[in-house]
Amino acid sequence: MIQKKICMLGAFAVGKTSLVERFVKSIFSDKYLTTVGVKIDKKTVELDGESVNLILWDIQGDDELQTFRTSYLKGASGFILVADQTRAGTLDTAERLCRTAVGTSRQTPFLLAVNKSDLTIDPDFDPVRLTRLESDGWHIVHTSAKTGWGVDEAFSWLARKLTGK
Amino acid sequence: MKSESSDSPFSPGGPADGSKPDRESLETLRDLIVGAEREQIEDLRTRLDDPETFALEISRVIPQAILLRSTQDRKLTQALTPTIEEAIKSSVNRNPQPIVDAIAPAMGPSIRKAIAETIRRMIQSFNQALERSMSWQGLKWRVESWRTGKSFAEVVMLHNLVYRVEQVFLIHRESGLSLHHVLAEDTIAQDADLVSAMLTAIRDFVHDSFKTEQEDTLDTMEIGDRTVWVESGSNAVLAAVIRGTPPMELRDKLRETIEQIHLVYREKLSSFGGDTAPFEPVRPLLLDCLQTQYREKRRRISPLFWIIVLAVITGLGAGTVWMIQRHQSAQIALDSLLSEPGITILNSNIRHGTLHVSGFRDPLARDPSTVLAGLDFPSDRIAMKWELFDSLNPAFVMKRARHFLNPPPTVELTLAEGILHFLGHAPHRWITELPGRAMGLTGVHRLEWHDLIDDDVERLKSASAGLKNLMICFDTGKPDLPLSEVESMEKITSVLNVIFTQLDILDEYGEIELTGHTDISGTESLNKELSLKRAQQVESHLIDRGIPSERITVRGVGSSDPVCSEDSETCRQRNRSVTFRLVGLSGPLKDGGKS
Repeated sequence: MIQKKICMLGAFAVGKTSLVERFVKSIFSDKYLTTVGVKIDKKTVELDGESVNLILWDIQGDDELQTFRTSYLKGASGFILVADQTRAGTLDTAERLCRTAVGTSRQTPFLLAVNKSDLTIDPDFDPVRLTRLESDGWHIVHTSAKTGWGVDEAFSWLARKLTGK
Repeated sequence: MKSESSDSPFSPGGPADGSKPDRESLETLRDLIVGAEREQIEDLRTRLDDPETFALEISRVIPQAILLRSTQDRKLTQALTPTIEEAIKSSVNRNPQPIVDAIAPAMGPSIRKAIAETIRRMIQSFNQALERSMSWQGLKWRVESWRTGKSFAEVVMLHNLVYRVEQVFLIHRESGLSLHHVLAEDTIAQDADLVSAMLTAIRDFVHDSFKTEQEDTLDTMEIGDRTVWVESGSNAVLAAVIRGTPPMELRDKLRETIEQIHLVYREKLSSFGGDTAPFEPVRPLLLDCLQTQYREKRRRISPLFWIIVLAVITGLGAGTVWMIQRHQSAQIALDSLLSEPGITILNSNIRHGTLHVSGFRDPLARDPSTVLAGLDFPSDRIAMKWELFDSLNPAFVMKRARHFLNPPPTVELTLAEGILHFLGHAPHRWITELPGRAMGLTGVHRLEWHDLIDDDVERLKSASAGLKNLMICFDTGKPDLPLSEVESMEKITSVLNVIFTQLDILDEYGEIELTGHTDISGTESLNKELSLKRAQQVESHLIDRGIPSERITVRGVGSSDPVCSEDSETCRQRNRSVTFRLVGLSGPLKDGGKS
């Protein structure tokens, strides 16, 4: 059995928790997010007949209300950065978190989930910026936690990336 | 440091202003003088000037040099100490892990031992205190059972369970990924992958929150009656979920296990990329940690137990004594029945103190119930079945003889060899009935009663003898009964009555003969007449007194048969009389009256 630790990172209320909620196995309550600052779920992805367990560390957003604990990033095999297209500022957070978590060497696979795709985009949310990030090597998936759109794709992409399949 | 000094005597370059021919000649001269050593000098210069070569050179002699210097004095140690201290400090500041890893094998066991000893002592004293306060333990458990809704048995089990390791997780230290997980039977567990990760997150959280030293981690968690013990290695941690109070030995066991895992899987752990398959073989090691220990059963036995045992023993003892007594009393009863004349026991046994007997019983024997009544043996403890029989026991033969013959007290019976002897005297009627009564008397072959005196015969003989001495006297020449003889008449009548009664008893016949007498005075014919008249006179009186006339005969003999010879007046008087005699007797009485 292949297991991978994935950290979900993103600003407050970008929908990290919602993104995984409908697609994962969970035994812990959301209250851990506000207490311990992390909530752990599991998503099993089938790749070419082999199961890969993605242990998802849904880490509390980094903002003035919360303290971001970098110790939770230890040993992560991949990151899912989450931004909210209805709030342009969340992309800044995602970029900053990327620098913190992934570092500049970009050795750890990661992707950016632009969430709430079902909602109207923030005028200040610049698509050109996404293009620039993509050209910089970022893998970007548009997701909607509400409709489930793009979610499986995001997890599968990361799982493949992690397992080299 | 590479020397570029131009004033070196070996410098290839000469003075800046030197001419070429001079330089060449000098070189020639130099070659001539030191040509042979020049290569060596060049080599030496290289060895001294080139740091790498110089270091290589020194490295060859350093061990010997240090050894040599150490034997000479302590200056080398003194010189190195500050540097080494600084180096260690620097290393610890930068990353203490290597130092920790290095000294852990040496420090670990001794620290563990010291801590374990302390904790063990503490737990021991705590346990003792607890034990002492547990005098109402059972009651408390019942209350606890009632309060918590758990069954009493479960409460007792939980209290008797010292500890039980329910789950063991092997977790990759950095990523928190579950490498392996085992759980005890009948244990319900949550998803090990998630628990492993969350446990890691919580430990990180605690570690961060309290800003502890790097090696201080959360290694004990208490959740209700469960404890989570975490033992950390450099690359993996072992987490054990324990119910109850685990001993320090378990901590040691966990420590040893994680150390062993690190020893075997060091490479795989440090290069762990998410594939847990290589860690399958750790399963036996983890299973070995699933230990369970139950509280040793208390050897102390409740006083109640001893009371019960004592009561049972007393009860059994009393019961046994009672049974023995019952048996003995039944045996005594049986013995007395066996020795009782007239009772022959064919079968007997004693069951549960009750006597069962069957046999023969002489009707004249004592009633068995009477025999046993004398022993105070209760009648409800005997079951008897008797057949009647005649005992040949001499005493019983005698008894039977007495019973059937009913001898008067004046008769003595003796039994010898089947012959029953009768001695003494008895009424005629009893004697005559004797053969009939004795007929069929078991144990008696013959009767011998010839020595037995017949009372009625004797009485008759006695009366008859008395009658001979009686007479009625008359006045001279007169036939009339003088008044003085009336009394004698009364006496004679009563004797006759006795005689006739006895004759009736003896079933004999006899008559009374009255003989009239006279004295010799007068003529014989007159005397005969007178004597007859006298006899008739007496007869008349007797008839008047109830004597039957047909049983009386009279005669007058005159003076021909005098009562006595007349040599005196007294004798003459006796001859003027009537005498009495019993006559006409039949059968046996004629010759003496014996049967």
